[in-house]
Amino acid sequence: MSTITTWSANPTDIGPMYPFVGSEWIFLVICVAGWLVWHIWQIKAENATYEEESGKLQGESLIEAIDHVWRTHRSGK
Amino acid sequence: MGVQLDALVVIFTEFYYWVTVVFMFLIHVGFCMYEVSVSRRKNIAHTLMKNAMVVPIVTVSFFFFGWWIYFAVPNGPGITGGLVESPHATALSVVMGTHMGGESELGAGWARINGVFWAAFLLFSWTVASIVSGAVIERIRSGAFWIIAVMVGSFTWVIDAAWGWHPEGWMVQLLGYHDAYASGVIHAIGGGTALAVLIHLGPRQGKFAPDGTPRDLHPHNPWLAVIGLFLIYTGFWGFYAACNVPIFDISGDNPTFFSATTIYLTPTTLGAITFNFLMSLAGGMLMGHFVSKGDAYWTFSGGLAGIIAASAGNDLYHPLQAMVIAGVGVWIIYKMHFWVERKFQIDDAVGAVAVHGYAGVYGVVVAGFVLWGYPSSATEGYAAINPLGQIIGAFIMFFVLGFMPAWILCWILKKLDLLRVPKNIELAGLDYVENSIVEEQFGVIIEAERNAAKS
Repeated sequence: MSTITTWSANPTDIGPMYPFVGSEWIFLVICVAGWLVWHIWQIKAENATYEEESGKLQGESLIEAIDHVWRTHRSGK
Repeated sequence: MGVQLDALVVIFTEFYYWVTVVFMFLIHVGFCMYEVSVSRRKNIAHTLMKNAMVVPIVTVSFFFFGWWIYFAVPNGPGITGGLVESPHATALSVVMGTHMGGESELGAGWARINGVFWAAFLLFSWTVASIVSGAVIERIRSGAFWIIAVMVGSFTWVIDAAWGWHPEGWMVQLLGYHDAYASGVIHAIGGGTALAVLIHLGPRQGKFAPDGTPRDLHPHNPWLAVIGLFLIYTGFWGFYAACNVPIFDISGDNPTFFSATTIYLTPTTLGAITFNFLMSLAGGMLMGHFVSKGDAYWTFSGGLAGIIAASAGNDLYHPLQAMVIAGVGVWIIYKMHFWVERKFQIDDAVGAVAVHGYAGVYGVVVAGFVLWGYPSSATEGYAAINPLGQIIGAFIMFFVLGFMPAWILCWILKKLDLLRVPKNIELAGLDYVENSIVEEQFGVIIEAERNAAKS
């Protein structure tokens, strides 16, 4: 596991110091997959939230929400 | 002695870039602050999160592939050569991690400097994404913006840097392109990208009267906006330092002579760029105050635009030249912003297309005339700086790599209905969901306290 076994070696001979040297590609695959999954999850979650709230904010409830926003805006809360 | 001197150069360079990165962090703080302040109260949290998340999203994509692109494509590829081998810059490289420099063909230099040099470029990536972020507030979906941020922050701007902001970039070789402090490679591309997004996105509800007259959607806190711009100035100073190579032997075959250089390895000094940074800031603020009749937001934005307008040549200009170039540039971009707004109903909430895009294009083009004939590079045989090369360069930055890719991406996002928030959510406010939950909780707590008071 440990790449370095002594700190007494000649420093100019020391190369990479992180553990599991040679396994970088495994971490890269995991991180790239995680990054892509995060974007997909985020877009789906955002769409679902907007869809749900859009259904609620119709007609009078939308007018009420707009009035409420402006009352809050003017009072500086 | 030689070995010790090399070691000192490496360690000094490592520390120098580390300091610039910390300063440049303030650019992002400033961008977040002024975007939030320009938005209305109903959109504050959404605006903040949209730009704050640029930090992790662009950081990982720049680690995965952005850094490699910079070193791999200075030739086009296919214009002055093929792909360049760049083993130190791939996400799998051992020098992309903790490394002392031994056991590596890449040497101790890259092992120590790679991380801080990568970070300096990464902070530029955040900046270019933030330029777009401010323009599109109060109606863009966060998910769409973050895809655009990855494109401009880890892909398109990195290509333009490889082409025009690299000592061996093909634009430097063939066009004599010169853009020392990134008028084009950061600001013009950011402005061009923002303009394309704005065209697809459309204006905020109520921004334009039925006859097309623009309305002022007043910032909820204009003073926070100008403090944000002050922070951006501070970070921008670090950005200028980060654009330099801090210590480099420019002597060729002569005795050793160390100097700071630009990214093109042409000599300059921290003194010169300090003169010019401050004089172009001054010229921009004075003109911003004059042309906007003392409007605080445009005075401060004028300072920023002034620096951007002079940045392409601020390694070589006289400070008074920098000031005049900045002042004229700010007058032009201010007039253009309001003309475009009225004529095409483009709702750029923070004036980013003008302050970054038009000022960046202007800066690149003006440098072509003022610096006509200077060598563009330390390498002999490259084209000299010239007006036509700079005009073509500005077109590539703003339109080819800025506007076009963003226009295509946003066209796709729009077709998928992923670009803009629904109209009723926009009207109620993008923080409507969060605010509703908070108010519900307030209601529960107030009720509980009333009950406690009665018992």
